[in-house]
Amino acid sequence: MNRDMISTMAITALMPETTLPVEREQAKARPARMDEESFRAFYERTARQVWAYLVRLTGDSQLADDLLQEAFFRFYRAGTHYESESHRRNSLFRIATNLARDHGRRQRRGTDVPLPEDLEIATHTSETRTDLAKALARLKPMQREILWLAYAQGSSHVEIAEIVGLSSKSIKSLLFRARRKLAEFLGA
Amino acid sequence: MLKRDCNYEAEVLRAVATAHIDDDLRAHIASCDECAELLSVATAVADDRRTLMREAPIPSSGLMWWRTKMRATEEARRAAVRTATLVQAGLIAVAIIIAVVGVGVTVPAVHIDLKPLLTIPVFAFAAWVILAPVAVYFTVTED
Repeated sequence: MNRDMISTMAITALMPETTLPVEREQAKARPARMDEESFRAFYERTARQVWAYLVRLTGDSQLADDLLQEAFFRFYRAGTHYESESHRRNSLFRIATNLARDHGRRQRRGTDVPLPEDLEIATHTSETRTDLAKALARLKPMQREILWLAYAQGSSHVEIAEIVGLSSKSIKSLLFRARRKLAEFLGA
Repeated sequence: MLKRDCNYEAEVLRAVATAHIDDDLRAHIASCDECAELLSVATAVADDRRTLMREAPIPSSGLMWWRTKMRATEEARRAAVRTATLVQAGLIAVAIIIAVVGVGVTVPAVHIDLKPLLTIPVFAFAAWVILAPVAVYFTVTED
């Protein structure tokens, strides 16, 4: 039983019997924010995954640093109750995806700095990784998102659909096409 | 032309995750273009993720928590200031109406006596006096 469920049960238990049903519903609906311990533990588990995802979506490690902070702040502020750890993680990835998309849109409108010409991160040394970074950068943003979530994160089609905001039925064919494209760019 | 579905797809992905390919799967991959492509792409992406995660220069969880709390507090403070400003503006408007009506102003051109309208601003004023602190309380205690 997770902490959110326990806190929800505690709130419900503390409600006096005379409380109106509407008030009970409002208390349940009010977003409960994570405490420090839960937040830090969740951050430790997920921050590196989200950072890697953001680096490959944006092609910019410094931007990924900024978006990572913003993603965790928005996740904390949302303070929603989650059924499970994977649901909570998917929610964080959805926020990160939207932040990267917003940034991409601003870039296309020309109100922000252009994409760095050299998309590899300074610490990259492997030729394969450089090739992959460049190949991913040539894909459409949605294709990058789906490929990364499927093959790096190991997310199911339903989870990917939840994160990128599409129907799960469409994920299979989109993933197939994205994979074909990436294989073509990698010269596989 | 690659076919879209292969029954071994899940096994290939499992092999990528565990970094182990058994002989049967290896034999299948050698004869299936789709699985070979899947293995190649998924391995490249998974390897890239592992390396990126190792190199990720992320701030400590304590620092991230502190920054998040600071921002949340600052947002709550700004929201409280906005509410207080709104309340002040409302109170000033009500005070002006009361002042105008209270001193018995009439509009001579149309011969309207504004005194009966006094009850509306009085109720409005009372409502503001009661509701404003409540609104400010809920805004500030949001965080």
